[in-house]
Amino acid sequence: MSIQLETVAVQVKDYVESLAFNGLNLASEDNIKKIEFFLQNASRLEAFRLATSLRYLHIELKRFLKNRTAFNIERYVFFLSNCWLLSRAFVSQEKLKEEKPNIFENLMGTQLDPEIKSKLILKVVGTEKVHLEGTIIGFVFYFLSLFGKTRGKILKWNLMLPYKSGLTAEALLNLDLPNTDPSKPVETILLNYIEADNIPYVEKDNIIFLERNKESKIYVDEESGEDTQVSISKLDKFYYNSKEIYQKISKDHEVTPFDLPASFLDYIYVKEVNIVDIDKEGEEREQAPVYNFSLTHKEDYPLVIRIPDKTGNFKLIQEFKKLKGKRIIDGVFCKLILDNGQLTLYPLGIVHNNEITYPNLTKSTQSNRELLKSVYKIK
Amino acid sequence: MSQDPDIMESFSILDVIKIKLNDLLIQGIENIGIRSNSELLDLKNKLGEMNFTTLSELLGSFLEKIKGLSQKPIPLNLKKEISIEVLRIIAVTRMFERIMNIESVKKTLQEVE
Repeated sequence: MSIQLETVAVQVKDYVESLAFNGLNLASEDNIKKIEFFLQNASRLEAFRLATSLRYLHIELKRFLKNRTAFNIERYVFFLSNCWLLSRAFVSQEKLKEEKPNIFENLMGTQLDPEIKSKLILKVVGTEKVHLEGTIIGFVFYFLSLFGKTRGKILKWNLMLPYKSGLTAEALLNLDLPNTDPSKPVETILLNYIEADNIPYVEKDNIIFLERNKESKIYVDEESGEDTQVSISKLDKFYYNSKEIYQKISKDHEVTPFDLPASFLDYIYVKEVNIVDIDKEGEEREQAPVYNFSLTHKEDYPLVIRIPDKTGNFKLIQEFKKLKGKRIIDGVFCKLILDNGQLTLYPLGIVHNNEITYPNLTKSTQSNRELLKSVYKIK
Repeated sequence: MSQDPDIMESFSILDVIKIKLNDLLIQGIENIGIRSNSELLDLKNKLGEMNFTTLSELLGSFLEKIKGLSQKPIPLNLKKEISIEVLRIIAVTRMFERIMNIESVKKTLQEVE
């Protein structure tokens, strides 16, 4: 295995260096085929981080060759650089493995190896829409865990399917929630608590898989729709003053060349939010523009809501535009991100008058269940 | 959010480097490297003045190497060496950006307290 990894690493390194020298204007379908070949080999050798970076490089290169607007040069450079750094490390992997085994393991990456959680009680407190043009649509649901060892944690469930023409992510809310009997549509989880038994869970990333295990059972507590106060009060755990934020940043992990320029710090519950101004930046730089929503909130440290102007965020941007100067929102549950020297927020849920709403969801007026079943060949 | 002008200037110079590198990676080093020589030299000097010494030195080394692009055909090892310089600059720029990101937010939070 070790000789093969070195061979693949040399091939990838040489390939990336040649791609960097020649530029994208000389790239062709042959480049795509080469990346596919490297990707297969990296996966086979369980070099998961390299395989992931190659997969994203493949996506961006394909987008460039097909002249897709979704091509993002920053993302391309990020994954090109990651492939180079990883392959460079693996070229002399024997030495690295011997002298710094932890770093070697880290660079190889690990496959998600879930444990089974016998019982979870969950309440959705945020949603994020995913719309990768021509590739994937769906949602990330952010659940607050209310039971057991995971109590108080945010657990994510990804519901994503290949993009099919004419379908929006919202249509997927009409799919059957996996492992429910009698079946319930996914959208019922937005209002109600669920109890989930025998659920695969990956602690490292706090991801759950509601659909993977045939032994799983999911019960929707339809009496719980009115009872959101309990889960809202539990969001206080994510309310921070400036000192607490400072401590979080200070104990942040070491800086590596693999870090994203914008990095996720934690979830945060921001109270008494008032949107005071909106501006749009980035149009002049041939990259996806971003909306900045300036705001005041209960604490005195500066925060700004930052939402990239892309299809999946359309409704979210609309909702926050509407809120400008209108009313003070009781609370917004967000991802807290370090971006360009600022503390920025990506909203997942709005709390007002003891109700949680999801600002990126467009209300669907018709049921798409039959259509979905035929498009995705789901029984 | 108002930010320290020095920090803003540092972020903006890192942005300039990224834009230049993006151009190189799209159009190819051979096509753009020599043409933007004087701009890159200015950038290198500016980085030196702003104490981004590592980046300034890497850019200097890149500029030295691209002088060899006038040779035809371009030796394969030179192509490789130039690409490596570019990929190093990308990695180091990213690290600087990350450090700046953290330190800038910490400074803002300290000012609030």
